[in-house]
Formats: sequence, C-alpha cells, structure tokens
Amino acid sequence: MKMYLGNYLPNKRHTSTYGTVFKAKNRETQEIVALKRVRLDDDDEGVPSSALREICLLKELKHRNIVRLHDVLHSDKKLTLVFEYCDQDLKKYFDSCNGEIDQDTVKSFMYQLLRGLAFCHSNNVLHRDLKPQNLLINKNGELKLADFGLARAFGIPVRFYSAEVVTLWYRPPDVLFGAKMYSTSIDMWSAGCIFAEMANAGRPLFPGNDVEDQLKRIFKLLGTPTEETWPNITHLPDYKQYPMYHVSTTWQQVVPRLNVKGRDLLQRLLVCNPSGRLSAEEGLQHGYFNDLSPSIRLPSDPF
Amino acid sequence: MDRSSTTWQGESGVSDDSCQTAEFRMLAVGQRCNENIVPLFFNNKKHLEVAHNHEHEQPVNVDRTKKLFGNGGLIMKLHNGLDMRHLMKMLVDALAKEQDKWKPVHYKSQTGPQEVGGIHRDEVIGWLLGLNKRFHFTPETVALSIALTDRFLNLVKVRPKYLQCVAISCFYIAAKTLEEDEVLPSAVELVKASQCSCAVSDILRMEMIILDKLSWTVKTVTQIDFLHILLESVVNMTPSRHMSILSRNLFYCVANHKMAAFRPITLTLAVISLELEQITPSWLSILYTVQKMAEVDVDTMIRCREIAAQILKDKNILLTGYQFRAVTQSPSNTLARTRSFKRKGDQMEEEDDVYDGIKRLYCEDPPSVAKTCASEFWQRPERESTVPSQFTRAKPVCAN
Repeated sequence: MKMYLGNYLPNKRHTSTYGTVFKAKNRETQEIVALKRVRLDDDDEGVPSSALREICLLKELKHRNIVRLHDVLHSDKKLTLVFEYCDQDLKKYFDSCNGEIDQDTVKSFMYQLLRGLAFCHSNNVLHRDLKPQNLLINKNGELKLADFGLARAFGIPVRFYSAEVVTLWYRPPDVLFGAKMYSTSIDMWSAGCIFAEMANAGRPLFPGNDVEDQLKRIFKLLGTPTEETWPNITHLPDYKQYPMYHVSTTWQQVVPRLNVKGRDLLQRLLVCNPSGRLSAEEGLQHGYFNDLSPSIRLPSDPF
Repeated sequence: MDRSSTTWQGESGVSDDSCQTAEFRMLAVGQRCNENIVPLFFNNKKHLEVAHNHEHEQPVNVDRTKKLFGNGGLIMKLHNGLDMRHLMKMLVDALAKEQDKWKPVHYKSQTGPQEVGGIHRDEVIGWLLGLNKRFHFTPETVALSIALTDRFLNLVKVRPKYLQCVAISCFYIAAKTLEEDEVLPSAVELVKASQCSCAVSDILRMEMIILDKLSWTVKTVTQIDFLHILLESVVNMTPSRHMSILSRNLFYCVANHKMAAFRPITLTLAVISLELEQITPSWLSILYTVQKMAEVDVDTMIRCREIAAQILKDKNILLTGYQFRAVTQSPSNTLARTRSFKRKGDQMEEEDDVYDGIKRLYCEDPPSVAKTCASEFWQRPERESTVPSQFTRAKPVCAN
C-alpha cells in the first residue's frame, strides 16, 4: 500500500494551515506527488477539522484549476494526504520574477484563478483563504487553488459563519467589520487583491499590520464607505467609524502596468459593499479576457 | 373508478375532526395566497406545458429536466444570490450524489443479544438529536450524523454496547465537517456533555475506523439538504416558518429506523407532501416533477408516505404545524365560506382559484375536498398528465 517514497525534499516546501508538505514519488507509477503529513499524536481532537474538511471538499472538487487529492493514507500516529505535485506557489513565483512580470501571464493566472473559483462556488464551496501562498503553479503555467483547510460548504439557507477567516491582507472589509453572514463575495475580494498583486509583480496591495490599519489602507484607496454606498454598514458587529478618506490615488498609479480593461475588472472586484462585487462567473466573461490565449481557455468556458 | 372511496380510504393520519381539518385548510390556502406563492419552476406557462408533454414518454430523466429548467432563460436572483439555474443544478447534483452513495438500511425488529436492531438504533438517534440541540448545531449536522451512523451500521456489524460510541463518533465527524471551529467542542468536552459511556480515546479510535470504512467520503446528501432546495424553489414564502415545521416533521421520521430504507429524497417529498401538498396545488406540481426527476416510483412513495403519516400521527402532530383558528360558520358548509371570502375583496379571489384548483384536480365537491388526502395523487399515475393543466386554466365555474 505504501508506494510512496517519502521525504525526498528535506526542507519544508510549504506549511499549510496544518501539517507539512513533502515531495515524493509513487513507486508504481513513478508519478511525482506532494505529501501532506498531519500528526495525530498527543492531541485529543482526533483528525483535525481542517484536514477533515479539506479531504471532504477536495474529494468532490475535481477541476484542472483545483489541486487534486489522490489519496488519503493513515497509520497509527499520522495521516498523509497525497496531492498532485506542483513546482511552486504564486508567492515563490513572484520571488523569482524580480519585479518584472509578463502581463499575459497575469491575465492567464487571473483567468485560471477565476475559473477555479467559479467551479468552487458553483459547487457550493467557499475557499476563505485565498492568497498567493495557496495558489500553486506547475511547470506548464497552470494555476491551481490549494489548501482548503479553512474552506467550507455553503448552501441554503445562508447561515452565520466564522469571521475569523482569510489572511488579513486578503480579507474583505465586511469580514474585517466582523460580518458573519457572507457568501461567495468573500473570495472575490481576495481574488481582486491577488490580481493587483500579480499585476505589480508581487507587491501586496493592502499589507496591513492589524485590522484597523488594514481598513485604513483599503479606505484610503477606495474611499470610506457610508450608509449610502453600503446600506447597513453601521450594523456590522465590529463596525467603527473611520475618517472620511477621499480618493486621491488613481488606479493607474496603483496598477500602472495593467491595461484599462484590467483596471476595470479590478475595480469591480474591489468593492467594499459585498453585494456589489463581481462573481467569478461574471469575471470570466469580462472584456479583459477577450484576447486571452486560446490555449488557456477551455472549450466549455464562457466567451 | 370510484374516486371518492379511494380518497376516503387513502386518508391516513389526517385529524379525525374533519371539520377542523377543512377549516384549517381553507385558512391555510388563504395564507399561502396572500403570500403570493409562485413556484419558480413553473412561473411560466410554457414550462408547464413543456414539462407535461413529456409525460407520455419515458420518465423525466435528470438530463432532460436539466435542459428543461437549466436553459430556460429563467434566471431569477433569489434573496441569497442563488438563481434558479443554480438551484436546479443543486438538485440535480444532490440526486446524483444520492444515487452514487446512498444505500437502504434495513433494521431488524427482532434481534439477538449481540445485534443492533431498530430499537437500539432509534434510541441512539434520539440521543444524537438531543445532543445537537444542546450544542446548538445546525440541523444539517445532526442529519449528517444520522446518515453516517446508518451508513456505518450497514457496513459493519456492531455490538449494541459499542453503538453509542459509533453514534457519537459520527456526530463528532459531522460537526467537524460542517460546524465552524469556534463552536466545536473538544473530544473531552464532548464526552463530558454527552455523558456517554465511552472514553475520549475510544471516540478517536472509532473516528478513524469510521472514516476508513467510509473511505473518507463523509459528505452525504441528507433529507435536510433536499428540503432546503425544494423550499427555496418557491418564491415569496417565509422559508424559516415552513422550514421549522417541516424539518421537525422530517426529524421525527428520520429518527425512526423504518425510514432508513427509503431514499432521502423520497422521505423529504413524503413529508412535504403530507404537510403542504394538500394546501397549495403549486406544490403539487413541484413535488410531482421532482418525484419524476428522482425516479421515485409511485408504490414506494405511497409506502413511505404511509409510514411517515403513521409516525407523525403517533407524535400527534400531523397538520398541527400551522396555526388553527376557530371559525363560527357551519364547518361542513365550505362552499358558503368560499363565498364569504370572496366578498371581502378582490385579493381573496386568487385564493378561490387555488382552492378550486384542488377541487378540480380531484373532481370533487367541496366537502370531499376537505378529506382529500394527496396520497390519492400518487396512486393514480394515469391521471397525472391531466393534473398540471388544471392549474393553468382560468377560474373554474363553481367559484362563481
């Protein structure tokens, strides 16, 4: 059963919300895989909930832009998740870019990100932790959503979920204000942040230090939302008044290398009021992708 | 065919006070109409006709229904951002998952000392329902726990003394999967709160055994999932009110081991139909379509409904979920009541339509309508093709 030669890569490749990941080879098929190890000893919770959720969700989400879970193995004291192998994550890709990124690559990655996300959302799954570290890139330039440890299924009815989700820099303003009733728009904000970060070859858009700093950075760029622009904002659990910032920077200054259509798409994703954010499906049909290379688009994709 | 006799015999589990029932239904119809219920699946006459032209052919299969609803251009945003196409996809996906993973579980009523029988199972499920309340978990969580318990018991012979451990481990797995981390109890807290007889280490060992046996396929479609999808497909309803009544009834049924032999969709349809089908004909068409789509055969449906009706009757709750208001008119004179409603204003007219829709559906006189149990509907498939056209027609004569 144990056909995997573990531990080929001595250094940790990636630390996820739980466990560490190693590169390994399947002895039978010679296939290179990534092993995520979860230790189960001296802990009275059994299988960590994040691992359990990731397994449950990924068993059903089979898509070329979502990392594939091949197998789950378990021995006495550890659990091993066998994933398809990807060379690097988007963060590492940025590091290797040295501040220069091809704008066609940005378009390709963004398209694949939205396509993976549209698939998750149409299957009623929220990722809730999108960030460059959780987007894997393989040597063919394919982007895959990974680390579903914070993901959850959503459905009918809309319920209250945890507000303790999404890494600070990629967390939307509604969740920063403690909103617990959110839906797919939570991932769309993160996608917008990642889009800007890609266009700037890895410079994060809102690198806040804490919740307050994070919101200030957002409002300085987008303007402080009011009851008019965002009804019921003052009723959010952790709502606090912020100074009325007036927009002083243009989008061209923020993402100078992104073309007009790209800037338009970005603006439609980075909307403070969650109900105003574009959906992943709508994003895929945005004019920015009109000249996308046909090799990236799939026959079934919307055009 | 002697319709009225079938009707009267088909009456199972309806309150023995027929006058009250009649009155209740009248009021309920009025309430629904004021809420302006329009089933989204059928808010377009064209769809209705298309849907039922197919009935003389093969049973409506999933693909065809998908085509029918999915590309109908009927994309309405619902309050939570889901559109009809998405809902339809959810239903189709859920049915596919059910087909893929669900297996009937038959519990024995008479068992040896080392076997888990129906009584043991029901006892432990009742305990889980209590636990779920105690932890304030969602209905989805306990429904999944029950589904996992049934699946595991179907795969592995368990001795009664380990049953509690199996059930609480399934509950723990379901909670970890569906609940948020901040409300999850630790295994120690779980053991303490549940006062179960097993130790933390037993639960953790059992958790692994269960996950292994189920090949880590935890997500299972439950009755509650189907209930949400079906309720959501009717606009302008107050889903929470219907939800609480229907999910309560569903759980009464799920808690009975006999129901483990029925598919989740069958039980969900049975429970909804017992409660709602008789008061709003718009439901009838939805339930009918879903039944066809899910390929639930009529006999199974009737059997499931009968058992469900019996369970609910034993709990003394059938049809009492909606508020009953005492009325002064002669209870048997329902026609007079229909007229009195009419006089109150134009908005009442719609309600007469619905009521008459039921009458026409069963081709019966008002007093029998009160007694009409919808099981009759399932019993007569040959009449089904004529059913929906009744609703599209103009106001029937007897209302005037």
